[in-house]
Amino acid sequence: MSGIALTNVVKRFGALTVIDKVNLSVAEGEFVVFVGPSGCGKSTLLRMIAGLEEITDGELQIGGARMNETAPARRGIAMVFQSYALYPHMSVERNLGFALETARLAGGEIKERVAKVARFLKIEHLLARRPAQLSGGQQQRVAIGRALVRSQKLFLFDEPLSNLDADLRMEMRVEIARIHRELKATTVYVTHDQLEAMTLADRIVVLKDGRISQVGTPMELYERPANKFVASFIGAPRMNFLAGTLANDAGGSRLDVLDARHGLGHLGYEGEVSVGIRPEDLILGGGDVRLPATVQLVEPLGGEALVHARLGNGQSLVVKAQGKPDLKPNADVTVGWLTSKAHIFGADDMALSAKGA
Amino acid sequence: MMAGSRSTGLRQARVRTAWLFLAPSLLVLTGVALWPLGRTFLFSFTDALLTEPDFYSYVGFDNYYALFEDPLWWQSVRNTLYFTVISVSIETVLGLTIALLLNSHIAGRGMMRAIILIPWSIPVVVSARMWQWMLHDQFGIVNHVLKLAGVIESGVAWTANSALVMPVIIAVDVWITTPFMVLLILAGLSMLPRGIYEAASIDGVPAWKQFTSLTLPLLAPSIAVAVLFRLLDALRMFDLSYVLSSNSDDTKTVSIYAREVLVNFQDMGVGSAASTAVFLMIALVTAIYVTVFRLNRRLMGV
Repeated sequence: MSGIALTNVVKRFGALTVIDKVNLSVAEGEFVVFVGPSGCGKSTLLRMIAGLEEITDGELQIGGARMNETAPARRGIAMVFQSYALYPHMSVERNLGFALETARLAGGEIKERVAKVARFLKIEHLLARRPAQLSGGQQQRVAIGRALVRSQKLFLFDEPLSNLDADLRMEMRVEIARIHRELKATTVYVTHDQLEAMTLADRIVVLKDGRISQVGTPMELYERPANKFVASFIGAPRMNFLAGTLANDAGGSRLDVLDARHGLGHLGYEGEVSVGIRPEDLILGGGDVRLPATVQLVEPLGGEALVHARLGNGQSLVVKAQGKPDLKPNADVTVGWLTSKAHIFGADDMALSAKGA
Repeated sequence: MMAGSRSTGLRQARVRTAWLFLAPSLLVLTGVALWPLGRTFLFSFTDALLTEPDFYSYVGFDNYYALFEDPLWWQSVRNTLYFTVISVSIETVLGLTIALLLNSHIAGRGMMRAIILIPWSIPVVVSARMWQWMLHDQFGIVNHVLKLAGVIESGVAWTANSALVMPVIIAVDVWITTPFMVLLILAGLSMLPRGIYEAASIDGVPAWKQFTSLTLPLLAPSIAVAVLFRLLDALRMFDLSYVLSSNSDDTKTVSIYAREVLVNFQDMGVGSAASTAVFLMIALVTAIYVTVFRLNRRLMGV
């Protein structure tokens, strides 16, 4: 009984609306990631679920019961903070056991549960140390351990990995995935890193300006972004956007992008559009639609390379090419794509169809 | 070898620079602190008089014998210690309480912070005079209010009654210096990490336990420094007692005793001996305090 249901949830600070009528339900055992740029309200929404921020309007249910007025401690949650929020004057062991101490568990049982969690997170050798004597990754493990030790059914993570370096971030990402796999607790995870969102989530919630932009599985968001914002936020490097014109044609739609013209299934839209193609969907010297371009820069990444190419109108595109393409700056190339891989967005930035037909 | 000698040269240069920068403050300290202290120490072994300090002869420990045989000296020591322990204790508890209140998110706390500093910003002699008038047995507002409220029938001689004068002085000192405590503890409070309280509230740690297990231990260093400052101040307290009850033996502090011997009796030898004893007493209390607190910190593991 740890599913979450948000109904028309609103958060206002004075005249400023930070969360605007959010509706979302999280199934029991699900791993949901809130993602969005800074200031989009993702942390605020998480803190509202935790009870650290009041809910201005709307309803929050956890396990089917209204929780708006319930104290954080009674919501059946455990939370990991970005700053770790470890008790600086206590040993790791006491940090882990402090909540249990308060819950008046017997000393023996506290020791047992702390030892179990420490073993699970491989921090047994750190129990006697203080937070200041730990590395960032170790502190993060202790913070997760402190959340685990209370065996709650709902875990909240507030940008837990953003203070770690790249290596540790990957290691802890794997660790968090393992914890979720083994404990099957409902998890809400906030991050601004789309890579973390893609790799961890069952479902991703993309937030923008306090509203949900799109909800879906990582692959749904990647393959069928509902709008230009989600399209550009999910995936790295970012999707390329080209200006085009859409017109109705006999039996379908006709798309003009620079000098290239091609037919599409009927989209029922006429006028200026934005055509989005991911770097990995661009093909050098191939594709249904082709445009001439000039190579500006090649960034070899080892197994693949990012080719920055300039089109006739001066716009730059990023192409992700396999291997190490034999290209020099100023070389002439053809950049193309399959029409099925193009995402077309109308003037209101909403996707016109899931894909070009 | 080359590298070794070069790094030694660099170190020497750094040490030289350090001394260069230290020299001005060391000179000033010697001039205004070390030299007078040394002179006082020297005079405490002589029979010099304040009128003719250039003519003296050494009398060994005679001045100290005289001092330690004077029951009034010992009473001054008792008064000082009593005043220090009681006033600093009350100020600490009160200061902590007010600081916690001001640190919580209540309306107008910015203005409260400014207002609360007023008593401390007034010169002690002015405050003492003010309180003296307010506590006046015939015309004082304190007696007036108490009479109106029906608590007393006739005016109380607050500063003349030997049973009341020490409590009155302590009360005025609390009024004056609690803001200082509040200020220092408030600074400590604002340094506490906020996140741990959110973590604790999610973990179901009740407010009182958050206070005793998180706030107090984390605040201990700030409180300790504030108490140390107040301790040093209270041990050499002079002005308050001098203005409110100048001649009373019940409130005579060691500083007043030393001044009395030196100025009123013109006895530079015994006066210097008393001053030296005051200095040693304060140094001793400080040393004990710092040592005990260090041990404590180690035990608490801060």
